[in-house]
Amino acid sequence: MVAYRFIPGNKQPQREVVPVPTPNPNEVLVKVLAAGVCHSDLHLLDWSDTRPFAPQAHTLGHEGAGIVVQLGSALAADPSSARRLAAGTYVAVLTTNPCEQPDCDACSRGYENVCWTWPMVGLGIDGCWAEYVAASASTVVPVPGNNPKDPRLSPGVVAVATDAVLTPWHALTRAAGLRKGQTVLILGCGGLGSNAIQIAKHALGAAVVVGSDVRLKSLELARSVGADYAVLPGELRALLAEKKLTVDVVMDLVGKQPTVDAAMELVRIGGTVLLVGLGADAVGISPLATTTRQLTVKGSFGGNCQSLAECLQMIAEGKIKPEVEGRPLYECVDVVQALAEGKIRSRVALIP
Amino acid sequence: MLMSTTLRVDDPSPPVPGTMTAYRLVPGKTGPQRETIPVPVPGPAEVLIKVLAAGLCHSDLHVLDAALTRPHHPHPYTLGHEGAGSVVRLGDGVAADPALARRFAIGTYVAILTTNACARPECDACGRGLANACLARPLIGLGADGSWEQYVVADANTVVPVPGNDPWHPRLPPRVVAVATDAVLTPWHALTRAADVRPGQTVLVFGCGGLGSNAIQIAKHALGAGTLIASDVRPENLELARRLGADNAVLPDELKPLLHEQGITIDAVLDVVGKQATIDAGMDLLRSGGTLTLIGLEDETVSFRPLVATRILLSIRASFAGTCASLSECLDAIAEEKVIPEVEEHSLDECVAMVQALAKGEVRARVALIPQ
Repeated sequence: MVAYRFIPGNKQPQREVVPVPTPNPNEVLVKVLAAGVCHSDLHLLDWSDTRPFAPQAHTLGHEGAGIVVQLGSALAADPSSARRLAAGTYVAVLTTNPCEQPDCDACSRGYENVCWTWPMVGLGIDGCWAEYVAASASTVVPVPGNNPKDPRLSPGVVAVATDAVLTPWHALTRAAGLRKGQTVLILGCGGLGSNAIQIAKHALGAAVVVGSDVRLKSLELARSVGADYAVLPGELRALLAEKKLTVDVVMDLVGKQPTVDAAMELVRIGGTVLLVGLGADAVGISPLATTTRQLTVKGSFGGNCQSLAECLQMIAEGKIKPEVEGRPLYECVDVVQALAEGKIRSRVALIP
Repeated sequence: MLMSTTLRVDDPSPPVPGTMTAYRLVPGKTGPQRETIPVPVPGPAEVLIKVLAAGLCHSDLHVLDAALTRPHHPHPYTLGHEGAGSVVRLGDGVAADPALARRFAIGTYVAILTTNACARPECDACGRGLANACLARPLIGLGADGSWEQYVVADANTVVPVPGNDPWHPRLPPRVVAVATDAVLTPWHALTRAADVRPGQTVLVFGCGGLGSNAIQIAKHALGAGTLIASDVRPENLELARRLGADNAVLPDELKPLLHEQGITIDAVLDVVGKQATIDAGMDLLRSGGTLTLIGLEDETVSFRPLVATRILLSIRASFAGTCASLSECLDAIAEEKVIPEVEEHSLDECVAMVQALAKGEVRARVALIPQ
């Protein structure tokens, strides 16, 4: 089959023809219907020659949706798994790949999203920028309704939901504990941000959602998906003063020094800065500024099967409508390039 | 010569001189400047306190350093943000309010909280129980005149009567009460409000000096930490840490081997130092989903890697000083011997020398300056 792969040292995805994988006893083989492209894929490719995320070549693509075509032997032999993941089941493929061992310090405490026992799908082991992917049963979630033709839960939507919706969902519900009636500022209104706005506004009941981005088209998108205000970073201070807003939570989906600085400055006393973006290698904060304002900074990464199921449910109910543009898998390299040049408005799903 | 205007002929209050010695921060000058200044008159909402003891803190060094070229405040002020004393005069508004006049009757033994919160309901900090983050008014000893002088005025809101009202109480003498207002309070407030330390947990404390030595006691004896690990770059502080309750006290380089050898996972980190090295070590050693509570202010900026912070589900909770409520809790904990602050007394006249000694790392625990 065709696969677009990460080869250490290479800054572009490499098109290769590889064998269709055979699922191991606890895996399913999924025929990929759609696979998302994310800024993290760019980071991975960019750092390829200096600090490779993974030492080995592997197929990229950490956001997937598809149909189960084959079960590993242990799954086939277990009645409940065989039922849950029967051939033909429409599933989301989550990159997380948790080990679920009772002695795992992450999995045993509800932190499957940060289990590193096994490499992540598309970020260490073969992922979804291919026609087929083998994935552990622990990292595959059946889609509610089991219908790839469901207008709300098309493969492109399900694929991007596994990161572009899931990551902000998990962060806002588990790390920030965002409550109804609060005011939230979202820095970065792209692939994740456009969903974060909808989550905050339509699913979690934030009273005011402010979006900010350096790209004007993204501000337009932000307003169209429900942001009460969407302005350039330089306009934030004036906006908050004029509308007399106090920001309870700032979600930084960019993760660079200017956004971290803005977050620290604009969040209210005692507020929370939610750090999700991975744009910079390192960012600085001021002990004096953070302590005198009693701030909390919380990092959040990905999500787990439980929060993914919640996301898919929200999408099924029409509360979140991820913006996705489908492009053929063979345009992979061009899409990655366009994303790097800031030309992608929301999220692209590659369709094999 | 300035005389106190609230002095009445039949007033039982002790006589107050017109001028006093104060050790002040003067922008552009190195070290505290000894000056003779008028004894202040308390405003309507204030009380005048005769200082019995005033603490000396690393933050005093930071502000003195900054004062040379980039002062936080453009004006001179008396240093000393940890004070204990007795009330000698009431402002008119305080005297006229029966409850306040009783609470701060002349002679009441009090602790002075540097916070100086405005207490207005519309204040975004005070209105939400975050008075320690109210910066509406300058902090006492860090912008407004503080306790390195013989008499200090303070708003009644920022003064807390000491339980037992007895400066000769064996566990609550002035030197202890003074340093309690920061060296005990700041870690206490952080550990009870910001950190999430539960009985039986394993806690790592960076910094075993003035604040750290109390943090260790608070975590271990007041909050029931199961295992308390302390770390400091000064070996003599490690001995102190063990004596005060640390199960292990090691140099930073020895931490990883220790944890590995004993199979220890760190549930919570308290950074009392606040520099790059401690943030790095804290993030490296804390288990996933854990909280790093930051109170140290050594570095102007500390960096961390988003990829690491997100992957370990890190929470950094920063905390500053404390409130009247948490100060009362501290004083109770000291009265109950759960926390025994180590304090060394020196005369206020030794102020300049003690500041230099602290800067050179020659001060082991906490110094209280006593006006003569």
